[in-house]
Amino acid sequence: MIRHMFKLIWNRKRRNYLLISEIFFSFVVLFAVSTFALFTGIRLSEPLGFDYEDVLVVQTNYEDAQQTDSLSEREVKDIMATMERELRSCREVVDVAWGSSNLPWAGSMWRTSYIYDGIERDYSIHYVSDHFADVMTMPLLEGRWFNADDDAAAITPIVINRKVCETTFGDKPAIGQIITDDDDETPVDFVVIGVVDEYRYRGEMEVSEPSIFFRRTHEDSLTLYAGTALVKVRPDAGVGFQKTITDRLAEISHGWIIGVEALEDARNESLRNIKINALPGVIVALFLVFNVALGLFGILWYSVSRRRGEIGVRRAAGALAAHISWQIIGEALVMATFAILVGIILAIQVPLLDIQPQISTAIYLLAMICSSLMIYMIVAVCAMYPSRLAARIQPAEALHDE
Amino acid sequence: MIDLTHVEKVYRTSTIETLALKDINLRINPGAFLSIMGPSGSGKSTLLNIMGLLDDPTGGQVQVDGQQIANMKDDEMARLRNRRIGFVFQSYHLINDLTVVDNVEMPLLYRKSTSAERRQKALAALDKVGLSARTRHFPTQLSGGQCQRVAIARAIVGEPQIILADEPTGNLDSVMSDEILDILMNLNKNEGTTIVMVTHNQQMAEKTERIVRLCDGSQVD
Repeated sequence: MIRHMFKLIWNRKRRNYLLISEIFFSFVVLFAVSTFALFTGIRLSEPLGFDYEDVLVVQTNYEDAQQTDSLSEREVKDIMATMERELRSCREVVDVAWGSSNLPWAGSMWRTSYIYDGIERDYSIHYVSDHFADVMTMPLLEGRWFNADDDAAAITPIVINRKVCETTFGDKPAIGQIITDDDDETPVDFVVIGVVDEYRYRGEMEVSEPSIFFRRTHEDSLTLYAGTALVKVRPDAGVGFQKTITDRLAEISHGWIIGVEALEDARNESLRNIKINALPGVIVALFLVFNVALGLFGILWYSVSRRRGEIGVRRAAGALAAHISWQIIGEALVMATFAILVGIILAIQVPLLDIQPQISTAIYLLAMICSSLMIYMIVAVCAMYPSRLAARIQPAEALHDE
Repeated sequence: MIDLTHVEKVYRTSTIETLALKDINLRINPGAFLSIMGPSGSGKSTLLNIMGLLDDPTGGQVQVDGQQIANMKDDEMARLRNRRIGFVFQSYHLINDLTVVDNVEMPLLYRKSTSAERRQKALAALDKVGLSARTRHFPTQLSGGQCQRVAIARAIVGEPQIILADEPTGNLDSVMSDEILDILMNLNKNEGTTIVMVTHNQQMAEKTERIVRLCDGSQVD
C-alpha cells in the first residue's frame, strides 16, 4: 500500500509540486527554529561554572575619577582598599572580590593569544582577586586558587578553565604547565596552578571558551587593574542593601561608584534580550507553518472532492472506509516525505560546511528529526478531516456523479 | 448467487420522494449471463448498485452468495465486494496517474497478498483481455476499447464469481463493443463467472442468456 502511494504521488509530482515546495520551506524554517531551540535548551541546561545568586556587582569609574580629581595611583589604591574594608564591615556581606570589566553578563570581552608548545592560541583573560573563586562559588578541579603565597612567585601564576586543558594540553596534566606571552621583546611565562571547570561568563547562550585568570591585588599597577567589586551577600540582604552600599561607597570614594546591580538581574536582562531577539523569528516560523497547514488542509479537501470517482472505484473494489482514510493521510505523508528528503539534503550541508561551529552535528541531526516529526504531525492533522470526508463518500453516489 | 426479493429503492429529499425501484424479484443463478435493459431513468444502474452492495435498498431483501446483506456492516459489505464481485463501468473509472498494471492490481491492495502475487495476477488478468503489451502504459495513452479491457482486467483480477457491468460498451463503437462483449462471454463460458450487464443495445442483450427489462423502476419482463 505504501509503495502504491509513493507511485501515485510520484506520478502526480507536477500537480503536487507547489504543495511539496511549501512543505519543504516549512521544513527549512522549522529546522532553523528547532536548531536554535535545541541549542538554547542545551546551553541553558549546561553549568555556567559559577553561581550568580546573591552576588552584587559594584562598578567603579576610578580611571575617570583619577583624571578628574588628579589623584595619584597610591591614592586610588588606598580608596579601593578602604572601600573593600567598608564592604566587609557590613553584616550582610559574606565576601568581597575584584575583577576586570569583563565580568559575567557585562557584555565585555578581553582576548589575547599566548604560546604553548610552539603553537599560538587565543584565550579569554580575566584579572581577578584572591577571593574571586569564593565569591563566585567556582569549584576547583585541580590545584589551587590564588593566595598570598603568590606574592613571591617567581613565575606568574595562572588559573585556567577546563577548556584550556582540552584545547591546549590535551591529555597532559595541566598543573605546572607553562604558557608564554611573547608579544613583548622579553617573553613572559605563566605557570598553571589551578583548574576550574567552566567559566561561561558571557552567559548561558555562549559556549565555554578557554579562559585564563590572572591574579590582581590592590598593590598591582593600575594599568591592568581589577576595578569592579563583586560582593557576595547573605540571602536575606534584600534589595535595599544595594542602595546602602551605593551611598556608603560614594561617600568614601568621592562619587566613583557608577552602579550597583545584582548579578542575577544582569543575567535576567540578558535572557530577556535573547527572548526579544528570538521572538520575530518564532512568529515568522509559526505564521509560515500556520499558512502551510491552512494551504495543505484546503488542497487536501479540494483533492478529495476532485477524486470522488477514484474513491468510488476503490470502495467498489473492496476498500474499507479505513483504507480510504489512510489513503488520504498516507498520500499527504508521502508528499511530506518527498519535501523532507529535499529539506534534509539542504539541512545536512549546514554541519558539513561548518557554518555555525558553535553548534554540534548532534544538535543539527536532532533538529532534523524534530522538524521532520513536526512536519509529519502537522500534515497528518491537516489530512485528518479531509480523510474522514473521503471515507464517508458513498461509492454509488460518487460513481454516479462522475 | 444473487437473490432479490421485493426490493424497493426510494430516494428522499426534504421536499421530494422518488421511487427508483419497485418490488423487484430476481434470482440470478451461478454462471448466468443476464442483461438489464430499459430506458434512461428506469432504475437499471440503481438495481446494479444494489446487487453490487454499493447501495442499500429501502425495502425488500438482498442475498449475495447466500449471505443476507440487510444486517451487514459497511466493512463486511466491502470485504464481500472485494472477494466476490467485480465492476465494469461505462466510463472505465481508471486512475490516470497509475499504469495499466497498477490499475489492475488495485483491488488486490485491499486483501492480503504480496506485491509479487499482485503483479503476477494483474499480468495474468491483462493477458486474458489481450493487453499484455500495454502494461506500462498510462490510461491516457490507450484507446477507449483498451481502457475498457483494462477495466475488465481490474474486475477479474481478484477472481470474483460475479461481474457487474454498467453499460460497458456505452462509450465504444460497434467493433470495440463486440470485442468487449466477446471477452465477457468468454469469461462466462470458460470460467463460469456470473455476469450481469446493463445495456441499451438490444443486439448485445440478445446475445446473453436472459434479459430483464425495467420501466419506471418496475420489472416488466
